[in-house]
Amino acid sequence: MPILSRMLYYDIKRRVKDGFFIGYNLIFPLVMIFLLGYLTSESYGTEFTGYHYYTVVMLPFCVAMAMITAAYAGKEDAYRKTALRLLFSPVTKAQIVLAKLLSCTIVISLCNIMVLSSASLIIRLPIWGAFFPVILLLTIETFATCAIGLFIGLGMKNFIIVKNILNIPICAGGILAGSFYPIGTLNPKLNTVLHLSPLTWINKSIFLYVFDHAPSLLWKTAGICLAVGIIFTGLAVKFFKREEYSHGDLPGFDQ
Amino acid sequence: MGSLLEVKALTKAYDGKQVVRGINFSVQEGEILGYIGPNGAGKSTTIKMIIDVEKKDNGEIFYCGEKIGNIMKVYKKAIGVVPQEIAIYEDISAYDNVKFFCSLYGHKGDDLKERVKEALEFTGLWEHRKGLPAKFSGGMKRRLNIACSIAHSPKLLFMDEPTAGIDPQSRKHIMESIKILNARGTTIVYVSHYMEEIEALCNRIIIMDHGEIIEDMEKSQLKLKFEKLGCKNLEDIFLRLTGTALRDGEE
Repeated sequence: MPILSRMLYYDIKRRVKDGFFIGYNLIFPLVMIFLLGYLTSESYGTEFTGYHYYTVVMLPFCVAMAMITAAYAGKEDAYRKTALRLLFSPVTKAQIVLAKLLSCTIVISLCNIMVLSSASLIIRLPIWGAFFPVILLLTIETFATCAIGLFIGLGMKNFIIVKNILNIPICAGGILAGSFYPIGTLNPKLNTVLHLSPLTWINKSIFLYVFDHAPSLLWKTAGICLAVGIIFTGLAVKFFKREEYSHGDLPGFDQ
Repeated sequence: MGSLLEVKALTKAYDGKQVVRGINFSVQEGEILGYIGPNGAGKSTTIKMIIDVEKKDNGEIFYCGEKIGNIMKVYKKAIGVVPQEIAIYEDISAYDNVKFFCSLYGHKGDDLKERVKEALEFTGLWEHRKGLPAKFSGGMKRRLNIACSIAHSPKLLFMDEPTAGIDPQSRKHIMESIKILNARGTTIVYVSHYMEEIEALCNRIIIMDHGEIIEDMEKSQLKLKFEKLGCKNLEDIFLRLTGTALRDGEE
């Protein structure tokens, strides 16, 4: 436990200093919310604005994008050549995986809190009564996406390939969930397709909790995300390969 | 002094190509063992298997007479490795680098601080402890790489080309440091392409080529054996044993 906490402390320290990491998880969602909210400001009413819509749908989408940052975190030690040091020191593979997973989850969750707080204050999203459950759901979603990202990142040598592969399902999921443009349909067949995206369920949970005060879907979704996170954490530890973890070059990477 | 480490019938193949072919050797307590060979000889692969970074295909490794698999945590605490590549975090201070890597061995509190200070002083980096390695010279980074590997006081230290690409001053400092470490009781396995370093530092020399050990003896005996064949120094012996053909692309 002391070794894990030491690894976690330094991992968090490096994530916070990582401009790419903070840009991706703090600056990007804020820019997207305000940009898309502004562009669609004429399409919504005065009580429920475009800013409100994009705050709710953009955060879960950005959390899903964290899969890529977690995959990068998994490969980072190989690029820095420090993976070797961790492997020959008395550190277990579970400690390596957990330090990465928890540091990503904690820092991204702090970014989410800042984005949601800023959005709530600036655009008056009526979230204060639901702030804690929504943040909890987003934190659990972060845990699940980071676990999936780490599982994939630790198993592959080339981050660029990982990034290109992950971009496709995440963006497709975002489109189906209305992250870029609201999609609603009465066609049951199309509706089924929309619900194939996990992001649709997460967005729906938040909308129902914040605007209809209906909590049950949010807790169910959080439970499923937690189960997915635990499963992929177990898989990341089980299939951790020393050779894959320590090898890899990122073109242009210079620490 | 007895055997600290024993390697028996160690083998490794990549994609069907045997890179380490059933090698046997031991490391005696208190010695500096020179481990040399041309590019692609299998030296780094052997070291990686010994330090448990790569899986071996066959064979056994014993530390103090015990299979390392049975005492992995004890074994890993007892060894230190100076990797060939500089393995440090360039975005945290030199002090934090040594502190972090030393803490992985279970050291904490004042003991940890003392060890970090000692390692940084030993490598001549105490004055630069607050600096970011990103701004260090090549020699300073190499010394920090060593500081991170010795702060936990390993009994057995593997050094894989610790002086590659540095200025003569830093090299001299590192060479002197290795002698001091050994005098304090650290057993060292020293891998290098610089024959003059091996000649100056090591008591015993292992020469490896094509995945096999082709010579393993005391430095003095080795020199005596090849003197009769006209070899004036270790480089002559090395070239006589491994040939002069280029080994491009074999690494």
